[in-house]
Order: sequence, then C-alpha cells, then structure tokens
Amino acid sequence: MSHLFQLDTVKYVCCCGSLKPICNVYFCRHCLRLRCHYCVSHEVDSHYCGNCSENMPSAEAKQKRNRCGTCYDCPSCKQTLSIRATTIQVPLEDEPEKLVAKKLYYLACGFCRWTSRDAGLPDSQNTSGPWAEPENPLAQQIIEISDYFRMLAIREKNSKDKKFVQKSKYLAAGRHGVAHLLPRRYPVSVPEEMSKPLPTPLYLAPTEGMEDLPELSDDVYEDELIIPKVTSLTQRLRQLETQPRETSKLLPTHKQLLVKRSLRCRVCERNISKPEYSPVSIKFKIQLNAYFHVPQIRLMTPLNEPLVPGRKARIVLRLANPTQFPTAIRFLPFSFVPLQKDGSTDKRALDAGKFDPTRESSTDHSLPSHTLTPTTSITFITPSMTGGGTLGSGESTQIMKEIHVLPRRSERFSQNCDVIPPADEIVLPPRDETSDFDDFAETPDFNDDPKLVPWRKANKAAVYLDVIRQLTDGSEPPVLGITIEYDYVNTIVALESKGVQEPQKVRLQAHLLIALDRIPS
Amino acid sequence: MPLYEGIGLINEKHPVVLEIGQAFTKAGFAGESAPRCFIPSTVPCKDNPTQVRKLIDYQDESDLYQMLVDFLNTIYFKHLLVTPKDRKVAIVESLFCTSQWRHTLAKVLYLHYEILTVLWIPSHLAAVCSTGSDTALVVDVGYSEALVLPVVNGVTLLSHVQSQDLGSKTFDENLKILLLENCTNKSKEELEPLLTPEVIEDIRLRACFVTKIRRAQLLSDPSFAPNLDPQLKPFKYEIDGDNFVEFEGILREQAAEVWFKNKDPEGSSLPYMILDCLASCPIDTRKKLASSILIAGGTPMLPGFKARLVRELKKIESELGETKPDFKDEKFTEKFRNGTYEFRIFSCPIKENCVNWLGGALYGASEAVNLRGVTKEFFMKNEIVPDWCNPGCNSVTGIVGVSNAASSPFGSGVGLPKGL
Repeated sequence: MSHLFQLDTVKYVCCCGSLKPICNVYFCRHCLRLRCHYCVSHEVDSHYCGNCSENMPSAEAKQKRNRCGTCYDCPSCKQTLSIRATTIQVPLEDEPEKLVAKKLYYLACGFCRWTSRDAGLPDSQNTSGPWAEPENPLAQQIIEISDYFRMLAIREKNSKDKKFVQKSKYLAAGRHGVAHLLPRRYPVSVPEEMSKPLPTPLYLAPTEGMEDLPELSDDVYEDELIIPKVTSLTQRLRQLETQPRETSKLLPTHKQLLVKRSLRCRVCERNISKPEYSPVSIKFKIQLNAYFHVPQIRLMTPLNEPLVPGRKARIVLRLANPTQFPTAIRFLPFSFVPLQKDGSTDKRALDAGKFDPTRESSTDHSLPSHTLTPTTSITFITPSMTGGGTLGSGESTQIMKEIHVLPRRSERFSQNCDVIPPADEIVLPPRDETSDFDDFAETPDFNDDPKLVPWRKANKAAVYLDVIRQLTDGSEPPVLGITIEYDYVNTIVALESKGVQEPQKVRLQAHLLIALDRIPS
Repeated sequence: MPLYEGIGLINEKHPVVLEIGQAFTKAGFAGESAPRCFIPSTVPCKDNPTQVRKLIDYQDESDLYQMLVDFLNTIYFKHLLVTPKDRKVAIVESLFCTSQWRHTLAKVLYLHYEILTVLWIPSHLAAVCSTGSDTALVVDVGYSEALVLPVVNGVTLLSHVQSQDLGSKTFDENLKILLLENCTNKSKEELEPLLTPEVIEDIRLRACFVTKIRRAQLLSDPSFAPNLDPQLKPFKYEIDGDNFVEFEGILREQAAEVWFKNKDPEGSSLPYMILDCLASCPIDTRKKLASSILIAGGTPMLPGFKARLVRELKKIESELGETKPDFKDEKFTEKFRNGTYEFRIFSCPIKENCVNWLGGALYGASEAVNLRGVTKEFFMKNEIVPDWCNPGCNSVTGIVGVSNAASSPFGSGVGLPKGL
C-alpha cells in the first residue's frame, strides 16, 4: 500500500486542513467532500477477541469488562497463553489399587515459558479453568464507600430540589464548587437543614500508626536481590487490583477485546465507514474511501535536478479514474482555503484563528518540508470561493455547518512551486476491471495532444506538467501545490429519489500537495 | 452492536473516569474498584513511530491539543472500548495544573469528542474521599513534585499547601548518580548511555526500598557506612542481552534517602514538609490531621516507606520537644513542644497509585456528575471551566462577563476554602 499510493509524496488536503495520502482520506457521498480520520466521529461498532476471533455483543462485553471469556494473557510477557494437557495416574474410586490415567490442564506461555503452575495454580480438570484471577481483597469496602457517596449526593440533590442547599461535606467543597454558577436559585439552607447530622460512613479506611507499621524485616537486608523475581512496572500495572511485587504472585488475566469502529460524517451524520459485523470478515458494509471516488494522482517522474527559485521544470503525473463514469480533469493553481469562522460575527475564543492545531501532531504524516507560515493566504470563506464545486443553494448552508461542526486542523505546509496549468482537460474513461488484466486491450483514443498526454491505458493516463518554483528561499525541498477539478457523478441522488432523477453530474475540486524531490518507489 | 445496548438493567452508562498524570494516566469507569488501564502519558512520535513523546513535553497549546486528541483516541478505542460521545466524563486533575493544560483538555473533550458533561475533580479531594473519611493530610508524591495538602471536613485548606520537587523525577536523578558511582563491572562512561529513564525507573521499582531509621543515620555519614551490619549484597541487573551490570547493594537503601534529608536547610524533606504544613494549620485541626495522613501517588509504594515516615515524624517531633533544632525557627518548635502527636497513616482500600482515581470513580458513580458537572453548553457559551485560580469565576456576582449567570451567594469562599 505504501508504495502504491506514495504515502509521503502526494498528499490530499482534507476539508479540515489535514494532509493525508489518498488511502487515508474518505469521501462523503452526501456532502461531496473529503473527510479524514481526524474530522469524522468514531463509534465503537462491535467487540471481538483478537485471538479467538469470537464476536461478543456489547452488553456481554460490558458485563465481562471488555475481556474475552476464553483467552488468557501471560501475566509475565502479555503473549496469549495456550492450554497444555498433562496426564497423571490416579487410583480408581472403587478399586484404590488400580491406577488410571487422568487428563489435567494448565496454562503455558509459549514465549516466556511461564506456566500457571508458576503462580501456584493447581491444574484444572477442564480446559476452560477456572483460573484464579487478581481481585482486590477490599472491593466490598469500596462498594460501601461508593454507596455512602451516592447517598450524600442524593441528599444534596434533594436539598437543592427543595431550594435549600445542604452544605454537604464533600460536594460543596473544593475546587469544583461550580454549583453557584448554574443558572438556578441557590439560597443558603435554613438552619434545620444545616443542623441535620450527616449519616455516618459505612466504611472508614483504618489508619496505621507506628505499632501497625513494622520496620522492614532482616530478610530484606540479608537476602540477595534477584531482579527477575521482582515484577516490573508493566507486569504490575496489568494487575492493578493487587500489583504484586513477586513474580510468583502473577496471575493470568483474560484477554482484552478489540473493537471494530464505524465512522460517521460530522456534517451530514451519515456513515462513512461501517465494517461487517463478523470479526473474521475484512469487508465493509459501507466504505467510502476516497480512492473509490476521487481521481488518483501519482508522481511518475520526479525532478532530476534541484529546482532553483524562479526556474521551470517538467514533471510527469499519472492520473487514474476509479469511478464507473468518465471524468474530465482540469489542472488549476493551488486554491485551498481553510475553513475559517468570520471573526466579526463570532467572538468565541474557540475560533480557529486562536487555536489552530498544527502539524506538530504526532500521528500525522505531513510533508517533509515545512515552514512556519503557510504560504497560502488565509481568507474568510465564502460559498463562491470554496472548492466544493457547484451544488447550488445547498452549498452555503453546508459550508456554514461544516465550519461549526468539523474540528479544524490547519496543518502547516509550505507550497513553493506552482503549476503552469495546461489549457486542455484530460478525459479519463471509466474504470473497467477486466482491462487491468488485459495487456492487449485497445487503448482508447481521445485525440490527445502528445505534448500533454504521453501515455494512456484504460482509465489511466500520464500528463506532462510544467512547474515553476516561487521566488522564495530555495533551501527547502520543492513542494507543488495543485488543485484538480473533475467530474463526479453522484449516484446517491438517483437512489434517494427512486430513480426518477438522473444521476447528478457535478464538478468537484481536490487540493493536492506533491513533494517533487521524492523518488517514486 | 450498540443497538442492543440499553435493554433492561444494563443500560446505565457509567461515566468514564480519567486521571491524566504527568507520568501515568489512569482510565476506567465510575463505580468500578480499579482503573481499566494504567498507561504512560505518552503518544507515539510522528517522525519516528518507535519513539514516544510525553504529554507534558508539549510545545504550545496546539501541539498539546493534537497530542491529547491522539491520546484520548487510544484510551477510548484501545482500552475503554466505548464511544466517547455516549459517556459523561469525570476528570481527576491536580489543583496546580496549568490553566493552559486545563483549557486545552476541556476543548478536546467538549469540542473534539463532543462530550456533554464533564465533572472536574481536584485530585486531593478525590484522594480523601477514597478513604471514606473527610479529613486527611494528603501527601501526594507525583512525577515532578511532592505536595502536602490538608483537607479538613471536606474543605481544602489550600493556603497551607507545601510543595517540593521530591517527585519520582528527583528520585531518579539521584538514583542515577548512585548507580554511576556504585557500578562494579562497568565504567561510568560505559554505563551512562545505558541508563535510560526507563531503566532507572525499573531499578527504582525492583531494587530500591526505604531503609530503617537507625541504618539511615549511619548511611548519612560516609565514614560509618562501611560499618553497617548486615551489608546489602551486590545485585545484578540485565539492561539488555549484552549488558549485565552489577551494582553495590548499598544504593538500594541510599536512593530513598532523598526524601529524608532532614538536615537540608531548604527543608526539602518529606517529614519536614508534613510538619511545616501541620504547623501552619489551625490548631484544632492539627491533631486530627496528624493522625490521618494519606499517601497518594505511585512513587512512595516502595517497601518500608510508611513505616519510615511515621518514625521520622515521631523522631523529629520528640527532638523538637527536647532541644531546639539548629535551623528551624522558634515558632515551629513552640507549636510541637506541648502536643504529643500521634502520627497515623491511612491504609486505603486500593493501592496508593490509584487512590486519586478511585476518588474520581466514587464521585462519578454518584449524582455529582449531574449536579456539579460542567456541561458542553456552558463551556461553549462562557469558554471557561470554572477554576479556583480564576478570579472571574469566584467573584460575588458570579462569572465576570457572563450576562445571565446566577449570582453566587458563596462568593469566593467555595473556590478558595481558606478560613471556611
């Protein structure tokens, strides 16, 4: 995947301002916009165990604390434990002198050789255990404290309902005394209310004085320390209830479940990606990845020598049309406009201008070169200026919604090369899967100018492009910013209006940043 | 399938309880007795996925915002396995976290994850409530600093706080010096690059302990140190497959002495911090506080810590009664001369490193989330999460700049509980 889509070379600019390779971008068919991991909302779809691929309904997963019922993790190295069988000779019940073989099971780690016998667990007669699990010996006491606090909170709530405040011990105190900020009448309670004694706690943690806390025993000083016998931090933190110090007290834990996520567009609240329920299936019910909808662009020939500011150079891009409909692609100068709130109408400090989360994020790939200031000028967005194409009147409301709903992230980038846009459009035929396997398929003839399109095959074509480097600092790697305009046939419209309407053909734009000095792999 | 959730009794959605510490983050659900995960507060590095970045090493607000988005994403989808939007959140936070951190975290929660209600709980108050009691002297030894903060009848006596840089960071720095000095089979130059923070932390956890008070007195004088009986045996530590390092045993007990430097004129010793704090507290609370010391934080979980702390306190107190100590002023001595204090330490129903989290879980399970939580609308409208250090939130007339907020009869008293 990484070499096919050139992860670091060609980046699509998502609506929210993230820079992503095409395989990490989604395309919302309802909004006709690019979406990415960052600006969609994630939801937990289904739980499953990564080891046994067993599906678990949410309610059951919740009850089992998100752990698989059958698989266990090694407490020592976190690998999955396997069940081993062993036979022992036991005397028969009615004839004690006769010995019969009996199967017993224990857990063993194939990686670090830990076994459940190390933990002192007896072998089990069943493959499924039961194996002892770490438990907090004082869990019952915690429940009692919890009940006490619930009681206090309910009292406070009731006193509030009566328009009197119980100056409850905890809940009125401390830093989060925010109740007085709520738009509600909040008078000080009457003396009777105040003088009511608080219930006594059900459980009070005991305190220990000198006599209860003996000094370390002499063994600590005399015995040699054997480091492998003492648990490490990660081992302890896997057993939070007990956090044992000796490795012999480590107990096997149930394996943590994994989830399949579904993604939802924040603007239209429709699913963008929804996996199939079955854990073994890698298919999707809904999968709106951009590489099914947006023309793919790859760099075929990078620059063969460094590009000096002000000079021109020629590169070759490879275009591919992934859709079922022909498209015509036109190249335009880079015109991405970040979503921006109009500062005059909205004075909230949450504005993008004040906190634009920038590309310092740790998970994101961004272009190898970057300057501190984006070279694209930031202007306030108006419906006519956006790259969304022509969707008519719904467009401006959609953008208004996007501005409010999408999390913004203006990743910083430098774009220091411009394209000299060719006048002609490049027409790409629809994708035909059979042609991919047919080496002798006829190449469609579109009467191309050989100076623009040197090569063509099925739904793919190569294009010569002249780029010119801006007169800025020449020390950075050259990055070309380009906007493409393409035809997109919206089949959703036809589906929703029950076939009465023709599929709607729209002109859409996508913004790309191409690192020119990268050698395409 | 989310569709089936919400049938019968199981539809109660417990709030998520988060404690994002400087070194470790604890996350889980309210109403449970232990966090679901206890993970380092780090995110993978963008440039090099094998490396990690600590959340506290953020450069600016936007950088922190990004890191928190990524970090919470991991917590929600790898550890807690719930949809963020569905749950209320209880945040257990330090009283002294920066406003920038707090505000950024609020933005991530309310705006990016669209959480409707967040309850912000100060960690010390949370720690106290995990004991079931309402009065305690909280000794919180965290990553960068140690704090001593009294809470009396549920009221935080914020002005009596004591803090020193005696956290695990200082401990590890000290331990590193000791490790370099006490290595028997490697030179300092060879050893130095091998001692990464993780290795030092591991040695602290596995080898170190807090020694007896009698031995500590001998340890403090280098000329007596060889006469210790019994001498600790040297121990071997495997850093990686090629490097087996052997260290002198003495460092195992020496390392923790960083907490008990009672002769230090700066007063950077845990027992002195506690006594300083007690001395400044109102007289009628001192006895109660002295007998309800609460240890919070993972660093003091070393064996022997509690026993030593109690003895140190008793020793200093008794010395104060007899002779004037050389560097403390007379007032301090006066306060402890008459009172025979009994120092007692809480034994919590959970390990010290989860004490704060447990308090948050107790709050989260009660009605407090609805009563005291800050809603998304409130945040969107006012752009703030009410805070004790923000004068705008604590004025008598309610929030400054908020037109229709109810006037507050409590005034600043609620936020700053001094003297209440």
